[in-house]
Amino acid sequence: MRPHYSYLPNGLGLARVAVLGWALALLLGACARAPEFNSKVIEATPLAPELRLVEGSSGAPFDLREASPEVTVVYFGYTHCPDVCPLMMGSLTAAMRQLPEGDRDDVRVVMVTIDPERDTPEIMGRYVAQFDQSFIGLSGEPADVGKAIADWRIEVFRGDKDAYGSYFMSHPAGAAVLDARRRMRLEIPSDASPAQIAADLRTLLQES
Amino acid sequence: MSPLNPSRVARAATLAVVVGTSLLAACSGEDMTPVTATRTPAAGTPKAAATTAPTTAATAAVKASAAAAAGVRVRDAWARSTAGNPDENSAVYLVVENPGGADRLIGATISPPISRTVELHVTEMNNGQMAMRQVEGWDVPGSGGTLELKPAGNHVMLIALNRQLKVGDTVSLTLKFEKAGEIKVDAPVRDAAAAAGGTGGGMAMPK
Ligand SMILES: [Cu+2]
Repeated sequence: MRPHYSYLPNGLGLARVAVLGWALALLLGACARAPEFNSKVIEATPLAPELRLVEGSSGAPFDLREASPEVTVVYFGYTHCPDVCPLMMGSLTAAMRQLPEGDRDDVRVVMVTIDPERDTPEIMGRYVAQFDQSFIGLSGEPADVGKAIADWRIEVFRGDKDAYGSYFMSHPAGAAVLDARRRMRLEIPSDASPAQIAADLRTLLQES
Repeated sequence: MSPLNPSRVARAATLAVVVGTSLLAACSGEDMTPVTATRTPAAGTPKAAATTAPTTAATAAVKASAAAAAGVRVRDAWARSTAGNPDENSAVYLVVENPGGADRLIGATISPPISRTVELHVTEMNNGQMAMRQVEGWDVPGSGGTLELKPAGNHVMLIALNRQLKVGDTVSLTLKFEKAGEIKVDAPVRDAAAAAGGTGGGMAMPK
């Protein structure tokens, strides 16, 4: 199974047109078009939606538009997710460690909670820090997190609570990659290897 | 829902990627990104859980030898470390090998009980949407068959831990098999940051 184009603003129709167009361009001998990615390419390169929440480790306001590095990875997940969320965060961590040291400062990894009821900013901060001290964990008021989820068109479902109030959620598997101009460029699939992610990040970094 | 069939789009995308990348590789002469699985060496040596039955527990020894006779073996068990937040969850992954007759893994318990519950879970992906679901068990095919619990697939889920899992800790599970009975498994805790770990998570899918 492959993730669908959950980050594309105009949905699958646009994705199909884009994919066909791209394939056609390649078939017509567009050898000049060099960049190749392991991740899914978001052809329309829309500007990333607004993202203004609370940064976990400092408790300070976070705004995606500020202090923009060359590349930003945005992943929506939750800390009670025992399997796929740590898998993606672990892969991102390993990918960062494969980058040359000079490149690492140009990449920002942001995890946004989809579960503000349980994931306070402090909990998000502690969660992302177990992977990499540079990672940014975001949460905030449920209404603000809800707005981010809606703005980014993240589909989220919450399961029933058990006797203790525990529940699980479902959410998109991939992570979005933005370039320095905050355009959405790639969607990293959940089964991407660290080497594939690192290669994609380097390709994007070399653009700028 | 979109009227378009996402899997068709995905297939078209895959085809385009395959065609496109091979064309690009052909004309640029550059090496493609290596599509290699980053296999970290297994932290735990293969453990035949049955071999370490304590002499004090005669019943355990009996069960263990019964399990050994049935041929089910568990190896490469590991648990993921946690961040130290309240009420955390974690997952245990492992491989069951079964040279004997077909069997079924039907449950797991944890001792000491450092989590409120232990459940068997499956992670499923539908249209890019990741969800987790509890299951009653998994078949373990016989005659050399294996059951693999690995990230983004099957896992033994530890729900509401009452302590942080740190690298160096060990999680002690008892797996229950329909035929082989109970098998004790020690799952060393691996660093969550060290990607997926040995049983194949984070593997590269052929594009
Ligand atoms: Cu689970």
